[in-house]
Amino acid sequence: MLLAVPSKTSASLPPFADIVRQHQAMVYSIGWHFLRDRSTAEDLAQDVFLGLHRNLAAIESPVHLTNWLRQAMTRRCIDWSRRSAQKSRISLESVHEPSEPARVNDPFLSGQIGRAMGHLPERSRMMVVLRYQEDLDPNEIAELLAVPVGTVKSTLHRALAVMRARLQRIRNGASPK
Amino acid sequence: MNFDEMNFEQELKNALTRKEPAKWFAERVIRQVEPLGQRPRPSARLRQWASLAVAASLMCGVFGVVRYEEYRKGQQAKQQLMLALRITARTLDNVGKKLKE
Repeated sequence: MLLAVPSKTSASLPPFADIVRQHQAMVYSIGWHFLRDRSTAEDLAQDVFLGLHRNLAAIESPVHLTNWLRQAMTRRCIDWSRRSAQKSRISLESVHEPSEPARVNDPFLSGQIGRAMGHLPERSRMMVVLRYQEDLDPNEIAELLAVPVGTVKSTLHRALAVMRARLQRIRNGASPK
Repeated sequence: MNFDEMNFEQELKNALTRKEPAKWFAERVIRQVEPLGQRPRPSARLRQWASLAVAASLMCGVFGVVRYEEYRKGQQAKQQLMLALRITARTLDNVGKKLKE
């Protein structure tokens, strides 16, 4: 429900400015990890907060607020990605591969993981973001994306297998198709 | 190196840690939703001067209209007087001609 100009939050919520500062990293990071594009992630995050401001009166609790923000950002990211038919601005093939094998917590590996995610379909990619950035369990992801839990589990399993295989091929020096 | 499941999941968590947006992000969002009533208003003194200026302009306008109306009426009276004088002169001229005849 859209309201005209609700400027105040409900009693259980902090002021809007505090909400933005408190949740900006969560909202922005969903966009950044999904899109790998800083300015687009910021624009979408801004839209989400402006939408929140219009709907503040409908937010009932801090938990509701967090879920609302996650869901709004998730939807905006997937919509934007579908509209622009953009998988990833950085192609995996254009990235220089390190000559040495990656170590655990290697920043190169983190970058490769991010780029490998860019090759996943939108819904799989968002599930990976929600599972490993937001630490949501499959039930919560299913509720957020309005899909069956079984679909979340199988999609996550498949997405991880695809990413692992892709990164393994890179390690072995093969083409990362 | 093999990506066993546990290590890979840990690597995913490491790669997907939350990041902060640009420093100005929150301020930009907050500024956009700031209602007009909360935006800085002109000082009381400035508003007083603006009111005086508006009142003075209105008075000048009214005064100008009144003066113009007076000027227009004066011109109209002058033209009527000149016309009356011309008619009188012509009448006297005709009377004079008839007396000579």
